[in-house]
Amino acid sequence: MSFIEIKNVSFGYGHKTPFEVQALSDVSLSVEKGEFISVIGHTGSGKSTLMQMLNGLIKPESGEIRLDGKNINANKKNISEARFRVGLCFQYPEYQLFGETCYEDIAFGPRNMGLNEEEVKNRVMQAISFVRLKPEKLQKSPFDLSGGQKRRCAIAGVMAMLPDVLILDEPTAGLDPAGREAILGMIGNYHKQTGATVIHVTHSMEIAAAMSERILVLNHGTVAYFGTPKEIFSHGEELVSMGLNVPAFTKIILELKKRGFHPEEAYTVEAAADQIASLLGGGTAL
Amino acid sequence: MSTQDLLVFDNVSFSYNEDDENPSFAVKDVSFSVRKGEFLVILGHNGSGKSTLAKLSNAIFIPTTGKVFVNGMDTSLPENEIPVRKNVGVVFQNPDNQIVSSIVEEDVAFGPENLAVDPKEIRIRVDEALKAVGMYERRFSETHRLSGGQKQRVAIAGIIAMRPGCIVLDEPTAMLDPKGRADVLNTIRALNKDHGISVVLITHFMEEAVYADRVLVIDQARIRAVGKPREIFSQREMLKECGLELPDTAKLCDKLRDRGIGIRDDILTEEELIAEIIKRSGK
Repeated sequence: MSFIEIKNVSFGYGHKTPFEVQALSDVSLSVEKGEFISVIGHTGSGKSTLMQMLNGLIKPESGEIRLDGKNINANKKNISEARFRVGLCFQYPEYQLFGETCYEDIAFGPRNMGLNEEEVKNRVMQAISFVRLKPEKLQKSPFDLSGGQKRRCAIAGVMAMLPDVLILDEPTAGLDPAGREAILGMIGNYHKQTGATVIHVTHSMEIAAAMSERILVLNHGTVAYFGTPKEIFSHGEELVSMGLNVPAFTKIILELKKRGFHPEEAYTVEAAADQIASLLGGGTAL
Repeated sequence: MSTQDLLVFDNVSFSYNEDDENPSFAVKDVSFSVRKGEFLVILGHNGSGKSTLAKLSNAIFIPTTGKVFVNGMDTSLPENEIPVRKNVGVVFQNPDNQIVSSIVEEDVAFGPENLAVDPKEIRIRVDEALKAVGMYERRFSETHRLSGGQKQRVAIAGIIAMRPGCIVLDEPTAMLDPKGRADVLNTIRALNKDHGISVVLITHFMEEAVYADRVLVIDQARIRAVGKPREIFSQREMLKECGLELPDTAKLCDKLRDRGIGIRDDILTEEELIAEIIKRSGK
């Protein structure tokens, strides 16, 4: 039995109206404890619907979702357990900050879990260490923080619940390169230190290739592929036809193949550099 | 100021709290100009002042000190507001915040209608604008049924229909999937190349700067560097200090140099790198 099991899940919006859309059709997949998964797919492929189902915000119309063996929609107790065990961080989470201070904002989740103030405080301190927010910011209004800090504060609010499954919907959208790197580093930290499962929605093929153990490709509400970066990016043409792509580094390797070279496949900058270096008779990294 | 300059920032500073004792500046002592037909990319970290520049460019904001000129018109004069906005259109990041009508072609007509353009002329402009962004086939579609990339292209068409000399785009691809991003970028490049519209593209994606005529780097409210893409991306330390990075291909070239391959340090595009590899391998 896998940690997360999604079995034959379907869901549609706007039934019995002319605007009916089938967001997910008969989706089945399972995720193991501690895996790092990236989810890619075009706008409207069903990514957000599926993510919201994983912590019970949306109920499947058919099929079921099991977390640690329990059907999360079976009863109220299971749903509220799923809400605490599966932390969901929406796109542009800083728009959802509401606390009078950063402390209050981050403490909201752990308090809802029924922890005492001492434990809540520990959770807040732990969360800001994950996202590298300085303790002196805790007494500030979250609205006085810079854009990048706001986002870190919002992500800390989810991490403070120490979810077993951390889901992030495009956590780096709209950030500059340094900000993207910082946020991805924090997610990596959380994954390593807590051993939690991380499910990360992204439009960047490069990030998906570099960070994930497996990549889930959604296309028009169905699972197109679910496998290692190597498996996924061997379907270059199919990905392009789904509005996706291969990482920029892979494109260069594929082009070299067309020109009569024989590099091995590569999905990250390091792997691509190794391949090209060996084509040119160079060594490995100094 | 040359007559070729469509948009001119002359020593512009802007503060959101100018009445405070110690006002802080989102834009400080910035001077640059955009020439007719130019493709200018503005790079900078979050909070560097890029979006404030966009809003200063068509009189949404008026400089605290200094002047912005559009076709020679001072944006701070109330009588210039409408002609300035006819000449410089701005497209923002979030496609959902920029659509005003429920039908694609009505949305595109909104701008010229407000400018009291003759209805027959509006018909012509709307069709042209939708063809230019590749959305003519969807002109009768409902706007809320479009994808993010399609909505952005409709927003761009709405600007083109006002026939501006210059379009300013503030991170137009930040929220889009890979295809949406590619479609919007191809549209922007075609408007610049085929229709001669000046483009100011504000972005966090280094790859989008590779094809610019010039790149402007903003750091902490000030201009840090201006130059051709090759000049800018050869200044690796400066980019790092500004929270920026290299385009993917240049990153790969750096990794090759780490591996003892003495590859040229001015390669920015995939085509250039592949040509270089072919040359070096003697094939």
